[in-house]
Amino acid sequence: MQCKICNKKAIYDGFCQEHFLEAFEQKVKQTIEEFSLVAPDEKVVVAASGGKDSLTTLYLLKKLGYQVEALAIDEGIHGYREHTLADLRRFCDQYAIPLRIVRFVDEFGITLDEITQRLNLIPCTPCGILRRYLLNKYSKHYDKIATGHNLDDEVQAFVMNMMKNSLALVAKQGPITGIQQQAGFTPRIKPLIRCTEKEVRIYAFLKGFTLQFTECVYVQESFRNKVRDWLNALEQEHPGTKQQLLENLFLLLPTLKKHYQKQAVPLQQCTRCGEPTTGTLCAACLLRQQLDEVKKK
Amino acid sequence: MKVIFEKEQETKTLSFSGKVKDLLHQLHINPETVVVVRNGMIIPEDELVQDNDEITLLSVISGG
Repeated sequence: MQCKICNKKAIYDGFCQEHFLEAFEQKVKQTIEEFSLVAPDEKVVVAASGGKDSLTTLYLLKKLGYQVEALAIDEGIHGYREHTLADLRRFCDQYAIPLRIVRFVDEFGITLDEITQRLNLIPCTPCGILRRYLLNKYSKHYDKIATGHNLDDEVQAFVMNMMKNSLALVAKQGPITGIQQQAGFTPRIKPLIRCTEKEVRIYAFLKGFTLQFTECVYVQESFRNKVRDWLNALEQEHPGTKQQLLENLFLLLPTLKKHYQKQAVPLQQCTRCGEPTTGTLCAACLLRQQLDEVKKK
Repeated sequence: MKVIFEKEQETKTLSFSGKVKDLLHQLHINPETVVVVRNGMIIPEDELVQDNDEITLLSVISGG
């Protein structure tokens, strides 16, 4: 098959290598413009893991001329995180991007591996709570936090939230997360939201981003894994399924966000750490309280 | 044909000539989940591969 733009051989989606790269970058640029994700004078920090999505986000935001830095969270997941952080350090050195790494063990005195052993929770739950806490804590002097969430991530979350009967969580999805801007929270943006995971992988390969294949050691335990497999099976039989789900999500979001804005609970300061929360203690401090109680036993 | 599986860090030798999409079907691999590389270049699903080729299957899915 030939490239739909030139006569060279197509490698994916009817594009040759050169025009695939061009189309991918143009898609990201248009997404940023369409949803006003970040203004030229704003400082952006990328929540970076060292995987293909965050490296692509870092690379493109820098290429497009934004003031960008990287923030990585080291949960202490042995056999996984040390490898991705090595890739990230190398990448940030190569492209002269400032990088800060924040570790669970320094902030909370414990790694995720240890939390998993002590508490009877699926690891993704405490991991998500504590990662979000640290991303928020260390992003306050930036205008935006960019994540590498791609189309597959967004559609998987949409399906998961619908299955769990949580429209309130769906309302928080989209190119800019959250229902409304709130003091104490840096807005989060997803520049890759229109790009499929396969497109990101191809882009990272063509640009020569050096990545070891890595997958979180806890991933087999996740519900998301099952949803991902199901959606990929559907996409194989019915191409365009994932894209259509995303477009329908975008259509729903304005109504959902408006609806849930009316029900938004005013934030107050966590009595333990001072971070914004709807309750007395934030989710991270509630978790820390659970860990303290386990330690006493 | 030598097939290198990036995710599993395995290499298999098998006999195959035909289109990439048929190779993936034979291996029970969903094309959504891999990028196929030969001689350092990405090849599309309709590409013909030969029995003496070395193919690498890069995993699309990564991370946590």
